[in-house]
Amino acid sequence: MFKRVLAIILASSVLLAATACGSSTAQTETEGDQSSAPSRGNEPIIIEFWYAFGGTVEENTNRLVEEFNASQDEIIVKAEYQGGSYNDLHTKVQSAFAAKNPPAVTLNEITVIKNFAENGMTQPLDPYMEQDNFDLDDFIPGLLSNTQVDGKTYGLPYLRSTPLIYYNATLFEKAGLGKDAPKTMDELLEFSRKLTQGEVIGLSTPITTWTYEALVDSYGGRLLNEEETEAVFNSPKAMKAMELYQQGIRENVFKNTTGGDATSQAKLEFQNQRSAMILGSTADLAYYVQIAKENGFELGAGFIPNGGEGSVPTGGANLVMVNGITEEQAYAAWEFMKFVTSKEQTIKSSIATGYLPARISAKGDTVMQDFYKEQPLFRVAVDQLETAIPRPMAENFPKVNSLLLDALTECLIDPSADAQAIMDAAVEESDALLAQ
Amino acid sequence: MKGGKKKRKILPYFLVAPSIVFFLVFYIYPILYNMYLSFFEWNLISPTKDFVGFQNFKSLFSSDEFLEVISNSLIYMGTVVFFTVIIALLLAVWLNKNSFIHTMIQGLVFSPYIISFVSVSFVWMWLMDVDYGLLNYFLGLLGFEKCQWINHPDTALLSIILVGIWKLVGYDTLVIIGGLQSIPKSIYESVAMDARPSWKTFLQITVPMVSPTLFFLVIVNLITSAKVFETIAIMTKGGPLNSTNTLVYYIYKVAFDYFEIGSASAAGVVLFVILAIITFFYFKILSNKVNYASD
Repeated sequence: MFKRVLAIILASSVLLAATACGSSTAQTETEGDQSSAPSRGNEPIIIEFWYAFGGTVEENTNRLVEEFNASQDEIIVKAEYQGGSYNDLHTKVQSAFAAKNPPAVTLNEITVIKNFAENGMTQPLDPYMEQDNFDLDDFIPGLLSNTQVDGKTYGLPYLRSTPLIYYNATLFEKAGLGKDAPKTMDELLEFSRKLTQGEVIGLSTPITTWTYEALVDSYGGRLLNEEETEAVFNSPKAMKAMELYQQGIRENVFKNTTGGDATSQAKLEFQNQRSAMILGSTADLAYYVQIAKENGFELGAGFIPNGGEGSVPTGGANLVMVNGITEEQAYAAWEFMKFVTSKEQTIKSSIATGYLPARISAKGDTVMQDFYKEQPLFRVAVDQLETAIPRPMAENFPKVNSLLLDALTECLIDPSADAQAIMDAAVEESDALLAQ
Repeated sequence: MKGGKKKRKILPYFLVAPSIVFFLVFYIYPILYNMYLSFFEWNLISPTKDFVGFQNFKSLFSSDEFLEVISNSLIYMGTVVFFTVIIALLLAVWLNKNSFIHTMIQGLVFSPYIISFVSVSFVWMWLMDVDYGLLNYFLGLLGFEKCQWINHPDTALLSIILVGIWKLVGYDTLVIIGGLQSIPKSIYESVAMDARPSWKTFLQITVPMVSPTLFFLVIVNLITSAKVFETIAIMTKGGPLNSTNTLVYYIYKVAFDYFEIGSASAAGVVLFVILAIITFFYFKILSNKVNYASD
């Protein structure tokens, strides 16, 4: 019998080993390709670009790299997928940096820009911009705020987003509502009440700090004060967002989802027409357009309902250059970054992914305008950028973020919980972290 | 002649050198380096590390989050091991026959063990979906209310435990069947003459006879479940409200979400100590087992 056990264990480990070998041979094959790449006699400079996310983002990244490599013959960029979230990507870049073998170009989610810059992992782009007379003024101001640390620019806006409210216009009509998104927070609650019928619920609220931040900002509250030395998400204005959430959940017209997969669960409800509205990133737009067509409902998208001030955060990632690479690689990295953020490529990327066009000239370009005529929903996000404000970038923000997430979860799992007390406690803990 | 002797002295070392080097580089060095890092404050990317003595350990043990993590880990380990071994024992007694159907079921029961934990986690997330999941569908058919599974702090850890048990039970079953088959048939033959109830035979003969195997499994399962990571990283991310945050996930989170390599290393040392204690007992029991067999 033991022999049989052994045989099964052996067989499974052989299988495992075989799959592992499979992937490593695939890698050597792609590495083999590079030798056949064009060169001018001189050895081409090879740099790596590490990115996160599959799907349309990955397709677009591969397209960018292919077009860049074909556009000139002194630099070869190799794009490498490093996981399905910015956290995975950061983790890998950090480890590679510690091992002194980092990629030349990668992405930084906007709240970690300062952290990585101050610790010397990324380099300021100012010297390169001066050399080239690079025009930073063409970028939308709302997107630049999360690229700058102490007056220096550490990243170029690339995959940038902003939260929107998506809604099912077909369900809106059935409920006797017009075709427009709720404009105020009161309307949001009122619409939700009318939309909640049978199996349909008004609004899906995945418990994430980003969408919550959007509501807080819109009410005129903030997560942190301007100097980022204190947490202020327990202020009266910020607490209005919580009151709204708790009210909606108590009345069963909002439905929260939690856990590692909260966002995808909420998305699933929206696309299956079990919820009529959802707060989400602009990056989901291309996906929802397709889903709506397949499931036969009309999709709408609007600004985050105005709670009084109407500000919104932005999201996503910036393109950054890593420190500790050779001068030659830095030159190549800068050339690649310029290419990716050029007006032409900004337009292509925005249309392909739904992420925001970061350049003012791209937004005004006829190609983009024609596209907006055809797909008016894509325009909503760009227009909303007028009211965009920066996201926190404090060194300890990741920890504060997780404290806030816990506090949120606690308030929403039991919607009659004393939210003020819970948030006060979270703020007190956050302050201690921010003071460090 | 003398040269040959000398050769014999060096040759063994030479032969084991590759595995010793491998062992030193990939096991001993990381363990020591981890201990070294636990005395520093470092964020993995800054060029300087600040020596802080035992501060990392102090702040760990004074943080509610970490104490919760330890208690979650212990609950997870205890519950998973207890139920896995019991269920595996019952399955093993049932499947300990050589008919086609039994062999097939053995294979089925074992299959979760060789499937990647990542895919397993996704499948269970679908099964446990509150609105569309198969589990809640069946609960509904039976007239029960919907269970919140991984969405509520009261049930999340239990859900993760369920997946842990499901994953491990096949391996344990197979090993126990191996143990059962090594029990001499003559014992059962002599017991059969006594005409005692079968549950008594089970408790008084079968269980004691496979107890060395059971002890072995308890230890191995404890170590495996102390290191649980994939299900948590994928299904709950330690939440809701820290209710499923266990040691390894905590280490990952502190190191790569909070950029605190020192604290993460200190938590790593705590995990190491826990595992070292378990392993110590493991070797103790292993040596007892040898005695048991020779008795």
